[in-house]
Amino acid sequence: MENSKFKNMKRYIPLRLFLFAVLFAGMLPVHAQTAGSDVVRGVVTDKTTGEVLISVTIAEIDANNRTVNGTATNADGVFAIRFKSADNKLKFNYLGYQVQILPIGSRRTFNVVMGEDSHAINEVVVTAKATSNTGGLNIPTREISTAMQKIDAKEFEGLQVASVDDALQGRIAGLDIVANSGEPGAGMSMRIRGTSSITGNTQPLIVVNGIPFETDISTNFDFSTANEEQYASLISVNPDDIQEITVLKDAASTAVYGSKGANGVLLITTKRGTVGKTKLQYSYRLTGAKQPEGMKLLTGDDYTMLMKQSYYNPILSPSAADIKEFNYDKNFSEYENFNNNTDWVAAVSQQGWTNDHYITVSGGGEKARFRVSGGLYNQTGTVIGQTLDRVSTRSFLEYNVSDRLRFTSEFSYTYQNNDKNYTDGNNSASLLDIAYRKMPNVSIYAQDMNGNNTDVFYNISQTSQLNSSQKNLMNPVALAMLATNNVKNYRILPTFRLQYDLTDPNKNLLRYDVYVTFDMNNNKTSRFLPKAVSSYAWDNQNVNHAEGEDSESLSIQTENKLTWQPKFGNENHSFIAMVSLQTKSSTSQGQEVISYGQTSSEISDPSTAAYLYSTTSSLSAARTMGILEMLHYAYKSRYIFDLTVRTDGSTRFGPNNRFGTFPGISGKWIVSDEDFWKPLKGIINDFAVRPSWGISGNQPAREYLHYSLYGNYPTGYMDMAAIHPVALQLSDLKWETSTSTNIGMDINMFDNKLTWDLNYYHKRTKDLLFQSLDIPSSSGYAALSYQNVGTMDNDGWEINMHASNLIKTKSLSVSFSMNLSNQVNKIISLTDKALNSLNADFSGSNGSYLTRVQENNAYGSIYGFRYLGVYQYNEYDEANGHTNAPVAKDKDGNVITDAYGIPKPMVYAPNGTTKWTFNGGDAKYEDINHDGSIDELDIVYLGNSNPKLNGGFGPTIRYKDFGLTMFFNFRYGNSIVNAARMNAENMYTNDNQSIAVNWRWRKDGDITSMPRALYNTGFNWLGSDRYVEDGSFLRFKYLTFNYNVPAKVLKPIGLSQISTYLTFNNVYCFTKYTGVDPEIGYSGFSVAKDMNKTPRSKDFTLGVTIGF
Amino acid sequence: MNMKMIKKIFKKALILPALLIGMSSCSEWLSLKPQDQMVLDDYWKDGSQVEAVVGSCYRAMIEDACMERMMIWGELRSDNFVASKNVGSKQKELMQHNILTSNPYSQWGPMYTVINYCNTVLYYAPGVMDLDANFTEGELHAYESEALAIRSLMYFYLVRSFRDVPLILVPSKDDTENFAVTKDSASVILKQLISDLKTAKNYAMSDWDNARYNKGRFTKQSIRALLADVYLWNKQYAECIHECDEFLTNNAALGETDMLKLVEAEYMYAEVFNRGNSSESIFELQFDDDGKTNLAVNTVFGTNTISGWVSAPNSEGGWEFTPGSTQSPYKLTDIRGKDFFQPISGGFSKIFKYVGASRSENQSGISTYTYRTTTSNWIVYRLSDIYLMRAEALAQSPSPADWQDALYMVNQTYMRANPDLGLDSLKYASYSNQASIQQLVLDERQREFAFEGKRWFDLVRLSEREQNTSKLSGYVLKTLTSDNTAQTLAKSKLSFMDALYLPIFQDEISANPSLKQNPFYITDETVSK
Repeated sequence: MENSKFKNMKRYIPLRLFLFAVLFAGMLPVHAQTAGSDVVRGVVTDKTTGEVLISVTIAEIDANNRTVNGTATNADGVFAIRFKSADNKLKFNYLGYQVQILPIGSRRTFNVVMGEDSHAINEVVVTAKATSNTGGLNIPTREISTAMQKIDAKEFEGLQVASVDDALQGRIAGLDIVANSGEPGAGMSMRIRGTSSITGNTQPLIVVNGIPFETDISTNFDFSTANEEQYASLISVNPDDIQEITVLKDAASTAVYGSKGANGVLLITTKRGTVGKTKLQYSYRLTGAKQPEGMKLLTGDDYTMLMKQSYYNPILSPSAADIKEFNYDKNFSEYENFNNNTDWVAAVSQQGWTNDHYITVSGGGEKARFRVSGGLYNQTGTVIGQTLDRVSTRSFLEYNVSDRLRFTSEFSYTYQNNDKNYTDGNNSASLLDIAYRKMPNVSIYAQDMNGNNTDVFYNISQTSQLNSSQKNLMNPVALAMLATNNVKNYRILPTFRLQYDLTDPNKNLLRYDVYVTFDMNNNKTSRFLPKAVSSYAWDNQNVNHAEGEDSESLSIQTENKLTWQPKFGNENHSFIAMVSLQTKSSTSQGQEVISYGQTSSEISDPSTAAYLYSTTSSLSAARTMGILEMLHYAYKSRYIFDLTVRTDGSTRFGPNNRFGTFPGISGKWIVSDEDFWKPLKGIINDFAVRPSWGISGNQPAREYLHYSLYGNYPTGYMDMAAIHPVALQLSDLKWETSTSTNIGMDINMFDNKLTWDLNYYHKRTKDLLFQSLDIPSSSGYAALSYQNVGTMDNDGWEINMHASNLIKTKSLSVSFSMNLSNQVNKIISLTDKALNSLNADFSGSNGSYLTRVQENNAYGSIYGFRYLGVYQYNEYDEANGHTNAPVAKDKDGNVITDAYGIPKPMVYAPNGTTKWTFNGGDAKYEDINHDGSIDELDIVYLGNSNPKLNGGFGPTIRYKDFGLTMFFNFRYGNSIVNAARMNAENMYTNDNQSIAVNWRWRKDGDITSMPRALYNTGFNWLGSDRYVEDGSFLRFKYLTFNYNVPAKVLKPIGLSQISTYLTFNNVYCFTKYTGVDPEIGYSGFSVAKDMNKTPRSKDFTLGVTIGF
Repeated sequence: MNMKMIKKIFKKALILPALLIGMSSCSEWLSLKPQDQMVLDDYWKDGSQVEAVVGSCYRAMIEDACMERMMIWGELRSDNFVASKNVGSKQKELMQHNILTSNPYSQWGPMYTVINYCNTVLYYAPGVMDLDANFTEGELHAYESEALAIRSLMYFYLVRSFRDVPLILVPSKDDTENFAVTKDSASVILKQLISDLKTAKNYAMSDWDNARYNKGRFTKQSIRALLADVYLWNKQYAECIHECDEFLTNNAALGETDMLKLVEAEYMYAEVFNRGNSSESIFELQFDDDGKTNLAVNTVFGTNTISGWVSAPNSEGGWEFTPGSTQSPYKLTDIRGKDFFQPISGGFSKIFKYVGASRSENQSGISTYTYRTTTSNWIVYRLSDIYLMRAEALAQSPSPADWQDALYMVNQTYMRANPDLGLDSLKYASYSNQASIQQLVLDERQREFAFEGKRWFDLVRLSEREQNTSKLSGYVLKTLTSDNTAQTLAKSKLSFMDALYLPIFQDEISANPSLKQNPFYITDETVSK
């Protein structure tokens, strides 16, 4: 019974598929019916009624089922067709009827009787082994022997995320995602298994539908921000388009991508058309975000009081504090502009909204399938003056010319128009950052003599005696309203693929694949800073300052691939082998013009005559090629062996080191298939061990390093040309290679209800690339652009757990997933020069922590002083109990005195130079060695920036048509330097401070832990444990409700799907951390510093998807 | 999409890789040359390319970092300046003689960049002769002379500022070289400079047949001026005098119309410092307002809108700069006392030399100063320097006849600046002993070259000659009278000869452990944890 059902199904599949072929065949020209030996004719009738059938398609198909000719029956049910070959067959197809395929042979009359197909509307179930794409091969999922983790679209169909990174965050063990900023269009940084490069690229490679997705940036442009853009464009892959995401983690799996794979690989597969009726789907998302309340700042009144004390304290002179802007003196001409309580942060914040419309049409038949989607995205930032508009389309067309030949075309187009806040070169602070620093007693608008706002923005005059850090800090509201910083970007990616089976795929598969893909990317940036946002004189370069920047790049990638999969008589063996040749060539160019002093603020084109500040242009080209061989062998689908070897060549290296070879070997033993496992099957139904080993590489980010380049100075000397060698030739630069060993286990328990995926890895990166390492400047150069400097280890483990259907009844199901990971970076060796440049001497200045990079030690350790509060009294006076005063004490706590019995004052003397004698109200640091001076000998270990444990967990609950998903992520055991608090409490500059400083020490005897205000003086904010905090946290990351309207309600109104969802992001964060947000990036050599003044935004997204 | 097209693409796709592999080897496909820059293998093919790199040797000297160092090293620590409100902490460190190894002005990189370009010319230019038939030996030698002269000038700055520095005479080519070089002593370097300059002098151009080139590029005469200066520093007084004499003889031989002459007092400011390339100029670095502007001068001295880092000393110390006052080095009649700086309210003077446009004086003797919006050239040598170098060398001679000759030299510049005083206004009777004649030369150099980046070197040369810093510290400490602590600290520091020279920048030491720090700046072993 079972068997016959399957057979039936097999037969009926083509019938459904043929729906599209009907359309297609109808389009083919119908040949005139001419008599002759190569013409067949006939009548088609209904089996039950005997009536003639009109418009039955008749196709002539060859041995590979390629349609070579076709026609249809006329109103009398009659057809005639001139066939190409008597060896072909005729295929009769009619909607709702069983397909008939009849050989032509010598027969010339076909009177066909067609019967109704009773199974035509049944669901089609295809039983085949689930396969996964590992980047190069499609192999059965259970035979995967490397460390990779896949997220299926189904997993986020229930979740309905707003973007790709949301879908991934917290889901994949060992993948850390931190959003760079909340600004529209800004990207995020991703790390797979930590950082394995010092100054090279550390972002994973993104591969979309098998094609590496990279942005080539000409050397003019900053690499770090360029990467940000790359990941921003990743977000433009709409989650609605994604079929699945696979993260390749170990080197055996990333070896497929050779030199680009060292940081891990993210494989994204987009959806393609499905056979069936044409489907239309529309989805809409609305996201509302608000700038959360960050640090609380002083009002104008409190601020001026602080400033007056801050100027007075260092030299105890009222004249030092006699600054008109703080005096509230009505005779001061600008009095009204400096007597306010402006909340700058509120002035630049707003409610941000995102509208995201997305429409998809998909469908197809046996011959052709398609999926076309388009989106319209509009976002306004939570800070004024930021908007992002995006139009994106993606299409996917597949055409099966025959069973053996398939043609695919993909096309994606994105246009993006992003208005950002203006940031000028010398003060690249964000608008929000300016708002946090700007003095609160100054007004937003210039005020008249009665204190009423005019319609002109107020800029502090250049003649003001205020410190230039405030004087030249622009009015952030004026910047947002009047200055321009616009980026327009077009990106077009057409891809053409062919797949051809050289032999009959059902016997021995020998398949040839080829693709050609183009990536055209265009950027246009225009910036303009009008006169009205500053008080600079007309000839200052910040007045009517205009910048225009254009860049474009084109890259062409090709792949020629041959896959061989023989069928063995003995079905225990399975074998796949593949060779591929990949090439990529790209060119990019850019130019930039900066000018200033335009005669009018209305003219913002930098090319109009004004003062030309600079013009730069760049042109670069790059080529890479790779030869890849892959082999997969499985015996009984139980013992699996994989081998990958890739050789890469790149124009970025000189002839000596042009090629790099990256092998990967992995194996898997599915232990649970063995006979001895049988007793355990009831509990652990699947158990597999996967060891793997491999090498992957990293290359420098720049071209032409192996040449001694001669370039021009922008201007010559007199009328002489000036050409000079611009950089030292790197004759000896090598690939950075990472060798990683991974031991993994896959465990499925209780009939796949509980699945575990465990990995332990050890990764050693050799020939670390170090960028811009100083060399003696006596060479004529300041630095070498790249050097190979040492070896680094990454060790870690990851646990993924998924419990599906923990509870399962007819209407209720509960699933739970969890992941845990940890990784440790360790420097194994580093050249002295690199160590020296990373380990600077203790600078002795405020705010800096000592960091040490040492061989055989993990990095990220924080060293500093111990903070003991504030000296309560200025003079030591034991009689009156004034013992908390700045005097030196010995080990036993006795005051050290000089020959006259006068207590020795406590001093700050770093590197042997006395820099400061402490007074009452100053910060008190622990004198660890009791020598009466605070110096580098009193520096102690304060913590480490690396978490001991990372993870995430959350349940998914479904009840009837309702769904509820929660997700939590956490970090444990790391320390953070709260630099934001440090800067907001140091009372050292003119910047506005947090309200905590209202508890500062003001007079002798005050008991507080907040030191006195000292403008540009003293050492009250040395790097100490005062700012080092435990960064452990548990975040309720999101909460999603969704509801699918039941099909029985929808059917009558002609819809196939309505699903809605509501997501709350960043619901709550449990932490002891006093800063606004403990989730900060921590990789790299320096200590983890939190500069954020505002927490991660809390937003909600409301979405609806309608299927027609 | 029809079948034909598909077939076409398909065929092409098959052929493409075959072509790639067949036609050229992979390695060749992977060697890609930049399109907007030249590579070494394609360079050094003809004479114009040699000239373009020589152009870079000059061009690198007028980069702000290099230009600023020439100004700062030569004068910032002297008694010609006091800090203005706009001064940065790093400049202040220098002015208070409290220099740390983190002070960016102890970075010598910009000078070595120029030196490396010169070495590049000297290394590659001879090979061009074989490739370019039109490139003559004479041209080659002329370019080589320029490279030698520029390199010598840069080393001369380094020797005067650091004393011992690495002497590098070959270009840096690639990353396989050992850049960790050691220091060479000042005497070794000076010896090299003298020999290089002698060679350069022989082969250099006498006349570029281009008025601006004659001032902006090295010629036989300007190389003589530099050589005389090196001799003077190296205490080779006879050779210095000889070089100056040769200069003056050659100059006289040019004839009345072509020879260099001091510009008359009335036009001195306008022609020498405002317009530039005057008839008394020997070698000056050429800036262009629509090319490279002289920002360093404006940053240090200020402009009409922004005040610079320094002012001329006020009455608190240094000069009593009010003209006519008894302590002023300038007499009321001295045009330089009016033209070089503008006394303004608040008791200090704004520097006017180089950044000013013109000065007009009304009948009651009150001057109005107008500042320029453009930038100036930077004068390295002018005729006055030949007179006063010769005077300084003569004043070291034991022979009173030479002292008289020295006075004659001083009178050249003094008479020009004090036209009202008549001929030979400084009388031998008043300066008849060696000490007073030496003092006179020192004072006249200060008056004549104020703000031209020379005074500190004059004082160091004096200290080196006497092996004692007492005179130097007597002068410079006056500028610190308003700050007792700073003055006391500076006094103790300036008692060491080593303290007159800059430390090696800390990052330089960490990049090159073979360098030995100037002993004055070695502190206790830095503690690290």
